[in-house]
Amino acid sequence: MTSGHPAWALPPVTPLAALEPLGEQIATNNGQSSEVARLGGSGSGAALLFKRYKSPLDHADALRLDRLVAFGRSKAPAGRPAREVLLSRTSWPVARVTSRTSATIGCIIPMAPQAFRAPDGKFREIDTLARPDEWLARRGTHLGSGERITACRSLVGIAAALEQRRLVYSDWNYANVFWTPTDYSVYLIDMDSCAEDRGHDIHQTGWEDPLAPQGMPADLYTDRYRVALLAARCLTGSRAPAEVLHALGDPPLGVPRVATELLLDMLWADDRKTRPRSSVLLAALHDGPVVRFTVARLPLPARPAARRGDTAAPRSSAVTRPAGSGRPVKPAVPPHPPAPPPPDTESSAAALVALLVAVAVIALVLLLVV
Amino acid sequence: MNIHDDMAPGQDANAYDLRQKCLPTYLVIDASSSMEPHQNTLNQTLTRLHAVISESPRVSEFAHMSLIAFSTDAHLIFEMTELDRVQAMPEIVCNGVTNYSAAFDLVRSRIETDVDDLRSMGMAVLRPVMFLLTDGSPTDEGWHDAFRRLIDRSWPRYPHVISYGFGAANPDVLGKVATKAAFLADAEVDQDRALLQALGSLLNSLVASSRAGEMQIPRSTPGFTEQPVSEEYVTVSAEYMD
Repeated sequence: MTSGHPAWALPPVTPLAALEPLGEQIATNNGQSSEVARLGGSGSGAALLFKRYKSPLDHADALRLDRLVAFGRSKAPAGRPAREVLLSRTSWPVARVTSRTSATIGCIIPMAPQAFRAPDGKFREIDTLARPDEWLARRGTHLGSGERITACRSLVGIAAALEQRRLVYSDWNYANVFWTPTDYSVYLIDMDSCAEDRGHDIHQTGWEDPLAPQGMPADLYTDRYRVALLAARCLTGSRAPAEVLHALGDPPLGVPRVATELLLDMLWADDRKTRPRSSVLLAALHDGPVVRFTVARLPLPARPAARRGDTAAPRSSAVTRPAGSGRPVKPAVPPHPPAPPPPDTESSAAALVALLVAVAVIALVLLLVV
Repeated sequence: MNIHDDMAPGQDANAYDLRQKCLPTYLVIDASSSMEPHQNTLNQTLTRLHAVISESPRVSEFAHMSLIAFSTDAHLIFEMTELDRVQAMPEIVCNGVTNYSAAFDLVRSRIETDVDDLRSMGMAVLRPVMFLLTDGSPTDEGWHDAFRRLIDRSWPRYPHVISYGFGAANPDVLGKVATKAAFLADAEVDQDRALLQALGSLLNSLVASSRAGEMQIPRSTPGFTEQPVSEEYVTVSAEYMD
């Protein structure tokens, strides 16, 4: 979506009544929202969605949302590059939505473009990029470090644009970023939670800032850690933090060494305020000139034990058969004690003949005796 | 990071814990002859479960899974693994009697092995959970003792157990082979559909658990009525192993 999109014709503060009737409901009780529904008649271009909050925003949060909306609508040259990135590659909020009592009950956001959908219609979450090449190849997606770097440039480009405006996103995680195999670009959602300099630390398991005390608001340094973790996971295909750190120490072919060193600085600096900026990482990912300061890091954790192979095979058993085989691997009956061996037919025939001869002899003897 | 709540006892609370959380999940399926009419639905649903979890790496990496089928004996179909590493689900063939003891004993021995393995891979291992799907009553005499051994609180690795019953499943027994929740399919619901809904409930539970980073038990399952869980099995909050 660009600043010329018809969505911007909507007033920056829009009463819900002006949007009704709402269209199809596409999500319920997801994160901070109780409902996400399409807007009817949002015109051509990106479809618009109404995101209803679980509880109304307070006054300060409503003003924060207004500033985000105003930034997207601004024509000021200052901030234009960041604005263009955020409007085209994120679900930047278009308007604040109010109830009859003027409470802030939601916002209007653009829906992610169709290019980010998988063939099954669901959005392709970046979760599936953070897996090894072999895993993706089994699912028909063939990519190498070049494609991974392209996706990471797109991701870190958004982070750099936010940081340039001193906006904290906080909610970096697998579910909020979509990617497309068309050009390996990414799209970030839930932008209405952005705040200037510091904001609510949206808790996501596995994304916690290791150097931030619990309860501390998220800040620009939190974002640097989380962006680095997400980028490093996508770049290496590893997921467990300890594995990611070691994978960065031995980067995949084609990944600029300075980029992996910066990622290690962002993830493992011993002082969170020395984490390098996303814009520096972006330059490194583009193989551009980078000024890198020395960052003291924590000692790396022990490398986790190697996992079993990339694939696992079911065992054969008395109650299974391979998928689609139509016949059991083993008899579909419980095991029994070993059956006696089948009779040897030749031996049996010989025995029968011998028996008949014996009977005949005995009968003849008896006959003679009688 | 919840850097303090996934610490193993004795660890330095100031150290940053990098261990990935993992919920060992046992799917224990009754494959006795009474399940034969539902065999196709069972296999189709298992295939669907595999497909959905395989395409969701964050569910797969959190809820490591092992599949056990039981009838006259219990059989380990696949060892504890991330489900997206399993290329295809085998088909279950239903036959034989309903030997609960064999299933419970096998789960107990597998928990010992699996928790050790997962810990050696550097994971923060949550208390295991067992989902039991059954359509009958146990035919063995010792099932009650076997279940007691499985959930014995003096054994640190005892699992949570959630049971789903179909068809001729005995409601009393169902409540006695569960520690967290027991669901009995409503009589008026088609049993094939009930089976589908049970596995859907299980899937939703695992998806919610992976989001929360801890076990989330369904409060209800469409088409099922929750059964009282025997009071002798007190529920406890989620904990880490060892």
